[in-house]
Amino acid sequence: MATSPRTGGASGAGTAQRPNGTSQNKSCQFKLVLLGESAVGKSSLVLRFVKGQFHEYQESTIGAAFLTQTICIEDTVVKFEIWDTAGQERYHSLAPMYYRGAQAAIVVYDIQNQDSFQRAKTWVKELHKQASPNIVIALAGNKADLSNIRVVEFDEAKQYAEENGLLFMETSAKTGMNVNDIFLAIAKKLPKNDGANNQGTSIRPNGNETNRPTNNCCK
Amino acid sequence: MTDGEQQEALVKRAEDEREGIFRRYELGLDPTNKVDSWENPTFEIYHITDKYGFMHDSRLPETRDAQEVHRTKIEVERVKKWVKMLETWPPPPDKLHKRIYKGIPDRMRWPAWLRLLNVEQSIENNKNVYNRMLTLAKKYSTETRQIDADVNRQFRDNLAYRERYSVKQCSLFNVLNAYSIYNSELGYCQGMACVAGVLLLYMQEEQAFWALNTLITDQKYGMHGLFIEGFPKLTRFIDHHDRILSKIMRKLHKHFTKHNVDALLYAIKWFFVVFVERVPFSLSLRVWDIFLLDGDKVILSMAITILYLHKDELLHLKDMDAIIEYLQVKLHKNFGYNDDDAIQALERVMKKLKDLKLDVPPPAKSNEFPTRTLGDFVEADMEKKIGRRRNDYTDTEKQVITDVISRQEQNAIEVQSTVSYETSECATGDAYSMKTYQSITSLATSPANSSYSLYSNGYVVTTPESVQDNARSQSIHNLSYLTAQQQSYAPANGLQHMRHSFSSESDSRNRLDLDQALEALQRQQLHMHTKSPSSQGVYIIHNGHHQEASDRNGVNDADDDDDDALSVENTRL
Repeated sequence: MATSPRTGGASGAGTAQRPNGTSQNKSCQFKLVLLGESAVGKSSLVLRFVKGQFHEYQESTIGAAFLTQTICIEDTVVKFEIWDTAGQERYHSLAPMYYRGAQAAIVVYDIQNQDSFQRAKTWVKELHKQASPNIVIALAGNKADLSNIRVVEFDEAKQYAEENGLLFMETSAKTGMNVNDIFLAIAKKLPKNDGANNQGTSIRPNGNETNRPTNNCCK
Repeated sequence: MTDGEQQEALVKRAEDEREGIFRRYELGLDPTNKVDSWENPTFEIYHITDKYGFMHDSRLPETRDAQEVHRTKIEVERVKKWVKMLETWPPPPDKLHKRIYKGIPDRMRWPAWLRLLNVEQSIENNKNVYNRMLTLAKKYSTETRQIDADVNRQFRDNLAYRERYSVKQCSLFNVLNAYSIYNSELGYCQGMACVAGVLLLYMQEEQAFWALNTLITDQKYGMHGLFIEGFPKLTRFIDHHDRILSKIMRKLHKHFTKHNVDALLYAIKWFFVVFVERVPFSLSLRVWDIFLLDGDKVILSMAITILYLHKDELLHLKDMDAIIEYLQVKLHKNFGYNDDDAIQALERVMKKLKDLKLDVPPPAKSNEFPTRTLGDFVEADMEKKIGRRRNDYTDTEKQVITDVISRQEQNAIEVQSTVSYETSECATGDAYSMKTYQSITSLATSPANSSYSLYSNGYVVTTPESVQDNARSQSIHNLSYLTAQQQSYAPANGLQHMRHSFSSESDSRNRLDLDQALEALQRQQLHMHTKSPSSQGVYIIHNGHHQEASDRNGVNDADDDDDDALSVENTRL
């Protein structure tokens, strides 16, 4: 496996360690993509997970946005590289660029919108067909804070998820409900040792966060 | 009511009004004297709203600094000049060019943009068309749901769009729906709401509709090709952007490639909405002014200008997420240069790209423009009417996917070839010492003019970590990725490059480091050309848009260093 140690930045944190990580803290990096109908709350889920914020009027995503977030599970530091994609059908053809090589996907629908649930199913189908065979897929029924006006029943979605081997949660980017949980559930399900992942998950010694520079404003 | 009675009523009204006002003042600060919140200076919205109507997170500075005062003074003078100029439209091209690059005074943008986009003429030529389209849209548009979703989140931090169903929100909704009928081939694509949203900040509904149409269908702007299914113009522009980057900012290009920062990731929004929400709004307006004057090539130059102005910072960012965050978020909040400086840089970059014959991308193909007659009503098919999504990709979309994937593979190959040398070494040896060794040998072979060297600002191109991400490089198995189109451009560009003359030598007044660096680049090329026939071959390959992996691998260290001597990376405005 071509896992090379990462040499740290100016801090000199990157001492040479064995790729197979006999040190107590492992760190993994996973590429995760969000897919789903327009305006179901993909960007809002990411914003809540990464920054803990919620914007009532999250601007529409043109193309895609990229963010990262790091979480810890037991002795492993998991860094998610998150691709948040545009939902309009016209942008559909750019999606493979983002889900190619992804180890995880969250397919989002809006519990108030039946069409968005159907759309989610199409995304799942496409991922099963086109994405990495071991991709971990989670289905997120978003806007759960509006469950009094729901259209998609919890049980219906849950059953669909079980039949298709998906993780499933209803989430609310607005209240934060289940947002961290769904990412955590994905992280738990992802293989975190060298032998188990064959889709290019890179494992490397901890300490690579130290060379993240501060953004000095130019002049 | 007789005249006399009417007069009496009016007098009575005036008396009541006066009485009412006096009563308020007599009450003074009495708590029963209710005032609207906007009547008090503490009303927060006054303090957080800028002159374009955008609301910020915190209060804006109470007082304007000397520079701002000076700028306002100049703007007042410019308004006078613009008023005069608009009366005698069209002005001489030189004068117009000069004034627009200085920035159209904000209150003159309305009439100026109307002129630049030929709006009044369009309205005159298409009487009642807008209303007809709007009426048809109410009945037949299949894009209404998407438009509604986007209007609901477009510029909600601007006073004009803040309130749901405000006048401007309604106008935006109407314009986009009507346009989806008028240009039925295009319909609606996300991104158009932003473009129309900007136009509506400066004009009325019907004017914005025709302005949008000019931007979309006029050859000069050709946004149709950006928004249409398959995004043909996006691909064409991104390819050209890459080509420019690989020629005049080699180090940054390598840096981006190494960190998997594909231009598609940062440039889609730049190109689709002409930098709105990616640079400060005031600067994006300045770019729009110039875009409206000079057309779509401005977009390419501005992209290069942004990267050029921020290359040092970008080179210090060693993660894809840091780079993307910088380009997507940071520059919007704080561009780091004032608008005038940024625009001056843009103008010089435009000039330089022109000198290098890189300013104009390859010509558009026919699929970038409408084929149906605009305004002819075409009823949507059943699938569209009921809003059902297609399960399969269309042929156009399949082509996009193929292109996108070959880009990724291309990039992966470039990463691989950049780091291939140490991959095998690192896999077996001590990485740390290996890297040290690498740096030493690199320094030893770097050319005399080390100020241009890759290593002078602590950046080492050969880093082991990039190969570990085999998630991205796993796809390196197909070397025959070059499309015919790409191949045909490479040699032509190389030759164009060779033929370039030093046209800017006479113009020393406005000279920038950039110019000097570019000249150094040209001298270096000529030098290589005359000195060594073999390096000429290398040179052409290197300056072709796409480098084949075998060629890259064949390049030795010395050549690589020469390459970096060709770059303009270490210059500063």
